[in-house]
Amino acid sequence: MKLKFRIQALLSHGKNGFQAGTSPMGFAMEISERLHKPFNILARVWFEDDDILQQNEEGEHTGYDHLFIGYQDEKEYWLTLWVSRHAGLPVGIAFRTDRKVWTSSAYRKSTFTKKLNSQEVEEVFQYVFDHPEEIPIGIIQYPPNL
Amino acid sequence: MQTSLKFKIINHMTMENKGNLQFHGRPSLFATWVTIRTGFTFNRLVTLEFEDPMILQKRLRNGVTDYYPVILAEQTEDDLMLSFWVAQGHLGLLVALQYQSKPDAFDIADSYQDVISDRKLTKTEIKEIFECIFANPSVLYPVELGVGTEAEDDTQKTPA
Repeated sequence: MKLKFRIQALLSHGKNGFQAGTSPMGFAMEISERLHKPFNILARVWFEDDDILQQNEEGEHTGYDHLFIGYQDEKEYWLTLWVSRHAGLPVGIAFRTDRKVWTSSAYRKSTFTKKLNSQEVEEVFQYVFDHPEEIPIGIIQYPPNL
Repeated sequence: MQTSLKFKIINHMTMENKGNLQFHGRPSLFATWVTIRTGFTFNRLVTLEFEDPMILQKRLRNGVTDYYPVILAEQTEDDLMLSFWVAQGHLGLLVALQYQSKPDAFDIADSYQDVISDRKLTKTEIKEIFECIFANPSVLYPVELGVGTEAEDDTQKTPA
């Protein structure tokens, strides 16, 4: 069965650089702090099958967010994909130069109601690389250079 | 301590008023890749430049490889973790990892076998590098960009 999903761009230009909804923006800022790298790409992946990368906890369906956090400028372009579980579970990383997708050991060990296999993870990354028009890529960094 | 190896430590970090630690340049992409892949967190990023440029390199038909040695470390209040990698672009192999609190638990990583080089470092040499850094942890301090605060150390810096 073909994997169905769409990408929702979350960043827009605001008064003080980028802005996005509070929850994904807060998550992305924490990840940025963990990586010690700025980001200017933040996008949500909506899977048509809402069991994908979710769990059932005591009968409750989790509502994890699935977020691309990345950065592009004239020197570098990379994407990381995250599940907003606990402090953040990285699914994988890819660099535009070779587009090879590397999954994280944490993702490989994780369990979800429905998990993406490595080929499906790759498909989602390649879609984003192939459709730059769907994510706004900014030249303003977070944190902003004051 | 006396070390037979001669190397420079090159810094790839900045801080502003002791906050906003940022990694820079090509080694920062490698650090991001390692962080995602392994789940380790790091707050120190330096590269090493050996006086002997063939260390950890391999001669090719038309030149030399452009591998670069990276130290990714985590300094906490009561410990210092050092990890030594051989990187190429944004990818790399782990050479060794050690916590300062466990001086006897020093081991070479299995992946060091996969580092193909004409001049590999010996276990003793790698241990020497670690001991040298453990004895002088200020070589790992980020460059302070803050206004009104002096940089805390006098190590060689290469601002990004």
